[in-house]
Amino acid sequence: MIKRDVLVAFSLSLLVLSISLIIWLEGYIRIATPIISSLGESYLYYSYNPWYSNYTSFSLNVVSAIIWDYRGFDTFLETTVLMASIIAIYTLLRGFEEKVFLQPKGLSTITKTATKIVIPLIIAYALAIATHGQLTPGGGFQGGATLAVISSLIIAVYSLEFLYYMGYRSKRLVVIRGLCLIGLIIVAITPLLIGFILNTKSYIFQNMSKEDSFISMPSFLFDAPLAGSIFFYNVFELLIVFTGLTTALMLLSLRDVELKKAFEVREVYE
Amino acid sequence: MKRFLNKLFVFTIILVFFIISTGSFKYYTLVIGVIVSAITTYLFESSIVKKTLRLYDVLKLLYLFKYIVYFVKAEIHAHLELVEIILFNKPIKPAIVAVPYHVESDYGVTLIALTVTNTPGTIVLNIDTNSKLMYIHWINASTFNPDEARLIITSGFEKLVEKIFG
Repeated sequence: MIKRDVLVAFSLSLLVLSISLIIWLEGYIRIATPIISSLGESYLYYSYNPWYSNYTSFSLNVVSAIIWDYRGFDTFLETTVLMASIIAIYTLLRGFEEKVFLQPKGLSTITKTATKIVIPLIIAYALAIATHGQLTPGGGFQGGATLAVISSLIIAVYSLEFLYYMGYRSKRLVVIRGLCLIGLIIVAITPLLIGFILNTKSYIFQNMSKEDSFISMPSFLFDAPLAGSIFFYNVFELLIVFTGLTTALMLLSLRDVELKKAFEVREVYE
Repeated sequence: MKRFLNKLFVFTIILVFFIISTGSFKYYTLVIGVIVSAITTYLFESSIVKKTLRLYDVLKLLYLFKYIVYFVKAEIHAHLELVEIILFNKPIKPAIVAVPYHVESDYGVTLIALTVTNTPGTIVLNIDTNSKLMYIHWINASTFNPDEARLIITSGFEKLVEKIFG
């Protein structure tokens, strides 16, 4: 028994040591291959490059530039896929009803108090990730997933009842999500509409000005690059992902009483 | 404005946290941070700080520093005791003892419970708010008398916590 413990401790310490060695070595020698494909090189070169204003997206974070600018349409479809998966959960549990006043208890005072302090900080952090998606690693999806942590915390610590008390209903969340999806589409077609009014060429999902179209989203706000539509997409994506994951969490933690009808419906079909 | 100091207190903490987590000090960060912390303050201020703060309460921060110093001392002491148990096979007497507490506020109870859990050798298992008892698992229970156990485990923390949270 003791021999095994010593072996486990030794191997764990070896793991930590080797990982820290790799991190330390990274500063001195090359670990990955130095060859970057020409496509990757062009992304790195143009994603923030004010001297080539026809190619750049004014986003310091290259991942955000690729996701929302170079392949914006693809990401938009990904967002709708998330919506579709929530609808799939709805169809599985059809017939459920949300009941208030079931007198939940929740966990002890200690956990509740500690969670109470953490929740506003999580909100601030999630919004920091989302609004700085064009400057630092992060973005709308990451921010939304972080924000959804508060719903899971509330469900675990205070119980689902508290979410109802705060005004969360799955139907309302669906409406918010739909509105944000419409907001995404509006941001995407705004350059097209402006181009239509000014009678010039413009594209759907256009961010900065191109060679044959001078229409451009705002590239700077105050003293930091805003990256035009990337910022707006990130904010809408934050709300979409937050409401989506919260709906999923709420539906998965429904109580027995609320699911009674859903079970009856299933029995009829069986 | 009602409870202005409460709002300012919560607002400042969230804004500082926002700036630290973004790691930038540009106007862009500041403007968005002010908006975000104003909204979260409006939503959560009443639930976070229940009693109305006064300017005099700033002095209580000094007790918080005193608490940290006391906590570090207790932590080192508990670690040494545990090291003795592990290395020299000192006999142990694990037991769950009920310890009364006399702190009123939620934050005070939470702080004491988390500190006791954080010091090695003692863990708060459950808390009973009606009879004001903490159920603490103690690795070396020298006494089963609730009041004597309170003197050994929590009374030192409790004195300082009462001064901080009242």
